[in-house]
Amino acid sequence: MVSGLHLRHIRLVGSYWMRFSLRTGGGLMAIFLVLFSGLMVAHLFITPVEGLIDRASMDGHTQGEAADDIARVAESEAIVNAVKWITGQDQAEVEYLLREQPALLSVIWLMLLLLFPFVTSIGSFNQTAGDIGNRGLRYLLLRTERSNIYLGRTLGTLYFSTASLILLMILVLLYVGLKLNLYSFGALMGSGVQGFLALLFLSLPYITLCGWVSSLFDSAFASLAICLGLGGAPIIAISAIDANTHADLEWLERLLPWGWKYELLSGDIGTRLTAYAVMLGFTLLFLLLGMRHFNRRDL
Amino acid sequence: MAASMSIQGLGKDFGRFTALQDVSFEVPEGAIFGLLGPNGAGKTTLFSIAAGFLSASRGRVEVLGTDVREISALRGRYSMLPQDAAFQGGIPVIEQLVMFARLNGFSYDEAEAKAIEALELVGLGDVARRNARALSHGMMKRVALCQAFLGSPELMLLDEPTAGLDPENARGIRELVRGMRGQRTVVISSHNLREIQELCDHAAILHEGKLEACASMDELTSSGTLVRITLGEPLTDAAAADLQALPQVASLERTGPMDFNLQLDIESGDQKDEALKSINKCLIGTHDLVPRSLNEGASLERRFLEITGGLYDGSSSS
Repeated sequence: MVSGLHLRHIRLVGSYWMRFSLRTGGGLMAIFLVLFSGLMVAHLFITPVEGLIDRASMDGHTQGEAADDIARVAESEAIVNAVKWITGQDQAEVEYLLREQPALLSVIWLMLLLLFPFVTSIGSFNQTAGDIGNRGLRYLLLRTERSNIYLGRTLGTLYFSTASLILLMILVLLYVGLKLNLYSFGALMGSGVQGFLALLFLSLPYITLCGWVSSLFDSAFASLAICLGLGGAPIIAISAIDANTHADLEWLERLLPWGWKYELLSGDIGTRLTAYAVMLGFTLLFLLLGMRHFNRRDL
Repeated sequence: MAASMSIQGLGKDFGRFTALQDVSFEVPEGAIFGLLGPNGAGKTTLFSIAAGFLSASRGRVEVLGTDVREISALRGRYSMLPQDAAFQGGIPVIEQLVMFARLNGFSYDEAEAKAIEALELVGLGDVARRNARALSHGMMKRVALCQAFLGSPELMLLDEPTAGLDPENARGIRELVRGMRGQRTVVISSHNLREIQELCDHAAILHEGKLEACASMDELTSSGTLVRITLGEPLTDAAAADLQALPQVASLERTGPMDFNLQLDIESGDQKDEALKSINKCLIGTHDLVPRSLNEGASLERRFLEITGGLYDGSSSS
């Protein structure tokens, strides 16, 4: 399945795919979507915090006192319980995120973890389907092995996702760091790196899952529909199969990367590394399944 | 002569539909080889298998001595003009050609030079920086053709290279292909029988997924042994009898009041010259009948129609 792999070809296909996608608009749309959804989520949580800071300021509190007020709110039992209920995490994990880490950033990362499979799917659905449909891949097929094309397209999509994610992180961290001035530089960077890795590792399996789906169809639209279903369905299903009330069905969630997402932010390094490994496992599984199908199908 | 392409027992099924059935033939090295067939005969399927786009259900294809399933071993030596494959809209054609050339193994600078050279070869040097979406259908066809010329492929498959081109551009492409004779092997699929007859030295005819004929153009059109004659007035019975009595004439077939075919019984070119002299002497000297035209061989179209039972979609002839 992986005979004829040629690193130069994979890089070439990947970099041209990224450049062409950017210039034809598809890539720009994907970046826009990541930034838009990410900043919307950040806005959702930053706005009330800004309100709290304004109120503290009107009450004559200093910046430090305002930060303490916000920390008190974030660490309150009500907020801890709310996050616990939403994420299904145990008390220790939630307390780690809200009390040991910058709470505002933790909540933003948690919300982004909920949305990211969906967002990643929109950016990854057309790795091959459109070019299978319009037969554009045929110009490449005589020039390199199919595996190189497949891996190159995956790599190009990964470049995109990573670049969009880095941009999003920089914007959120700059905003929270400069505008709100609640957390130290070290705390911001620590949480930023952890959030970035969590989102990146969660994106990986969805990129390869969408790559697999994309290789199954001759139509970008069909691929989009299935990818959105796979990326978005768990968001709907989570309300139906809520871990708090249907704990016995929790294993269902674990069949997709989705079920492991909160472990990516775990305070326990072992749990976090396990979650990274699971994500890589899913990534590899979907990658191999997609490549196997792409290598065998008629193009 | 060594074979540039060898097809053995090739078959392809799409579900219950058999698109190709036990097709076997060889393309001699350096030949310009025509692949003919009515719509749905399996030409594009055969090309697609030969290029590795489709997998064969049965049989194998060897290109330049390599199984096409090992396509990477043929990189840069083998190219194709696929039918209806799209370039990326919104991207200048030169950039796409540079990418293809780089995959063929050239450095960026070499790739750019090769791309410009190939564009100039098809008369499109001035559109290099233009966006693929902004080009006309005919221009895009030539750009697609140009990607097949990148580098120096030893074997080229051209699927309908002149379809959709205006007569002038079609002629330009034919000249280009003709100029490759003996330097590289070219396999052309076309509906345009006159074009194939004019360009190719060998041809294969596919019909309903089966190979019906594969031979040199001379053999296919019987150009060595068939003479088609049109007179200025009707052929008399006496003249017909005298012609049939000539030792070099095997048979005479009337195809119209003033048209007839002579099947010659000869073995060499010298004998043919003698036969033609005798025929002219009989017609002009004995019966005072002046040939208005004298053509050697049947038209490929006629042979094609015999094989396919009258199915010829010549709509894309140009």
